[in-house]
Parts: sequence; structure tokens; C-alpha cells
Amino acid sequence: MIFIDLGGLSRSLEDRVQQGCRIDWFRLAKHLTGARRLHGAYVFDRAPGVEPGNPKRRFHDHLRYSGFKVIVRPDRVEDRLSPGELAVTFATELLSAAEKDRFDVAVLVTLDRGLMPAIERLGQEGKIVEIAGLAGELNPGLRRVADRVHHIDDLPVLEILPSFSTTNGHGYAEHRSEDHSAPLEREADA
Amino acid sequence: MSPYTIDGSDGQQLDETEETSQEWLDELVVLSFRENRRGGDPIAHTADGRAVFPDKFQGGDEILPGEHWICSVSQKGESTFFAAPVKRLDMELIAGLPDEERKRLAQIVAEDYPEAIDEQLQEFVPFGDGSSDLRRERDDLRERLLEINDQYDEALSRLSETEAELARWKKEKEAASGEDVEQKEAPEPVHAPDRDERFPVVREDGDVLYCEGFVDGHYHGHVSPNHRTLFFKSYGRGPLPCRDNRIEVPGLSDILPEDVEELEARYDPRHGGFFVEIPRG
Repeated sequence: MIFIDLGGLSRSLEDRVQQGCRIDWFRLAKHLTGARRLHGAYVFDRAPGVEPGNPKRRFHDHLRYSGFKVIVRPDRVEDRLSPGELAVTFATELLSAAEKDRFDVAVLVTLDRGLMPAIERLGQEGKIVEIAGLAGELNPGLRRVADRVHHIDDLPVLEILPSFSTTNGHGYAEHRSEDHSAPLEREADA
Repeated sequence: MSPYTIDGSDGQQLDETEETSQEWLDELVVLSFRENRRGGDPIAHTADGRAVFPDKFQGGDEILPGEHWICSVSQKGESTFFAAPVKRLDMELIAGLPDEERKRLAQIVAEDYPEAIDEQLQEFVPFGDGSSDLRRERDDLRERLLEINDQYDEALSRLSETEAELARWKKEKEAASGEDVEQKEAPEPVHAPDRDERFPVVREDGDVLYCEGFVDGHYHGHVSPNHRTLFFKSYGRGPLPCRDNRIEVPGLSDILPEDVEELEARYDPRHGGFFVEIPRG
């Protein structure tokens, strides 16, 4: 099962996403899954604005259509020391899925060091936890508690667009990328 | 409802209401007043037929027969109702409404109470000779709509039967052949060997890659963030066209060293596409 902090990786790749490229989250999930069977892919992101036609909302719908379970939360923090609602939701869903024994291996695409206690807990429960991120940005604490580390730098996850296409710089596709006729969970069943 | 005892405007207790509390109903109501046959003050009736009299101590003196008022109604005892006028409904009020509200009002009357204005419309609006034709056309269209609805229902019924028959047929066929019918009917991918296969790739004209494994159509192209790996997957609506085994990759010159002319593509059946590793410059 894959858990993606969408905002975190988008920010990491922001300066690498060039004109004419955009992050293909579906392809990322496929690469991270490899030869294993994928039981589900969660995406966590900040809640989009309420205005009609918000591109982020359309982007979330696109992800849902591709088979992701998209969870959005307002990412407000009451004070500097408390974790945001989004981070807490991430940890809650992770532990909840583990408790229901919905996965053997969890691949976390995140930079959030605050997940360390949850990861350690999963380890005690016999679950395998893998961390994915850009090599230079992975948190040392997460590296230490994870069973395996994936370097996204090596994975072909940036979709090449014709030169006239543009991206908004956050990986939020303005147009649908690969039209995945088979949703994620089924197609990744390899 | 809150109990309420009427005091006269002069502060004296009224004889008639001394022993009876007066309760105000929650909602305002619209009442049409007419002359009382028995004489005296005008009278109105609520929707459930109860008689309502003007409450003279709450401005009811203003109400005249033939007028419509928004009223606050109070109940005294079991069956006596009094109306305290709030606002008279007349042309002055309607004329003073904002355009939107007036239009909405007209729409409600036209849609919900057409009979109330039909006569007046015919009197004031001079329908031409075409009006009867329009009415006939309207009736014809209504009949046609009913026919189409019937046809639609019939078609749905037929579709349902056909689907059931198809499902039964598939099941029988599957049972007969012992194979998965769905699997047999799945479209063949453009290039889908069941094992890794390697192809030489030649770089042409800067951004063009030639490979025997590429087939005419369209592809999705991906690059890794470190610009060391390319991935091409055939897809009918992909943004990169492929002709004569050649794909033009926008921006390839930026990530592929100038002196690199030969590469290798590895077809990965798990991903259904070609991985191309880019050597360091």
C-alpha cells in the first residue's frame, strides 16, 4: 500500500519540473509497486479552494479516477509545535490500515519526520515500511527507521509534454495525463 | 406559541379579554377579507376554514372588505381568531418590489395558477390568428412527448433483456470452452512480449530517437528527475507521435549529451513500455 504526501513531493520537485514536464503520480505508484501487488494508494493533500473550476480540485478528481484514494484536509496548525491536521490524518490512515491488516508493506512518500513513531510502531507489528523521496531531501530519521529507501531521482516519473504544453509548477496537471483505462489497483496487480 | 394578554392602548384591561389569554401563532399568513354577511367588521378565512376577524386593538381598523393582508394571527379560546395586519398586499406593494422578485412572482403565478390569469390575459393581450395554431402545436408536442417516453421505456426494457441474454451467452461459452471469455476479448497491446526484450536505439536529428521496437501511433514519454532514465509507453492518445519507428522527444537535447548517438531500450512487460538509460555526459 502506498501513502503519498502530495504537497511534500511536489515542493521537492518544484524546481525540477520544467516547462513541458509534470509529475505523473500514477507512474510513480507503478514504479514504487514494482512486481508486487498493490492493495491501495492514498494521496494526502491540502484542501482546494471552494471556487468553481479550481484546478486543484480537478486534479484531485483525476487522481481519484486513476484509482487513488485522495484525502484532503485543511493544513492549518494552531501553534508552531503542533502537527497539522493533514499530517495527523496521514498517520491515522496509515495505522488504521495496518490495524485492519490491509497491507504487508507500506511505501511512504513523505518528508515528515513526525511519522517516525508511527513507523516504529508498524515495525513492532511486523509490517515493512519503505520510504520514497528525493535522495537529497529524505529525512535522516525516516531513513533510519525505514526498512527500505527508494530514490525517486532514478524513477522516470516526470511526464514529457509537447513543448507547447505547460505546467503550473506544482505538478497539478492542467490536462489529463495518461488516461488510465484500468484503475491503479487492478493495473498494478502484476 | 407564547401566551399573550392583550392590554388596551390606553393601558386599561379589556373586558372581553380579561379571562381569556391570547396566543399568537408562529407564522404570518395572507388573508383575503370580504364583507361579513351578518354585518359588522370584514371577515377572512384561514386555509383550514376558520373565521378570522380584524384585531382592532392591533390596527385591524384599517382592513376593508376586498383587501388582502399579511397578518399575524392570534387565537383566543378554542375557536376565535383575530388578525393583526402587518402589510397590505396591493399593486403599490408589487410595483415597489425589485425586478427580480416581481419576475419571480409572475413566474409563480404563471406556472402554478395559470387559470387565475388566463382570462385576463385573453382579455388584455390580443392573440392573433396564430394562437390557435400554437395551442394545437403544443398539444401535438405533448402527445409526441408521451409517445417518446413510451418508446424510451420499451427500449430500456429491450436493452435489459439483451444484456441478460448476452451475459447468459457468455457464461455458456465460458463453460463450454473452459476459458475466460473476458480475457480472450481484451484488446492486444501494441507491443507486449511477455519477457524483457532489448532493442538498439539510434539518436537522429537531436531530439529524435529511432528504435525497431517503437511502432507507429502515439506514446507517453517520461524522464526521471535526475535525467538518467527515459520511459516510453504506447498509448493511443499520448502526446508524442511515433512514425516510422521514430519518436521526437521535446527537450531531449537538453538532457542527452551531444556525442551520444547510440542507446539501448529495454522493454519491460510489467510496465508495458521501454526504458532507455541515458549515459553520463
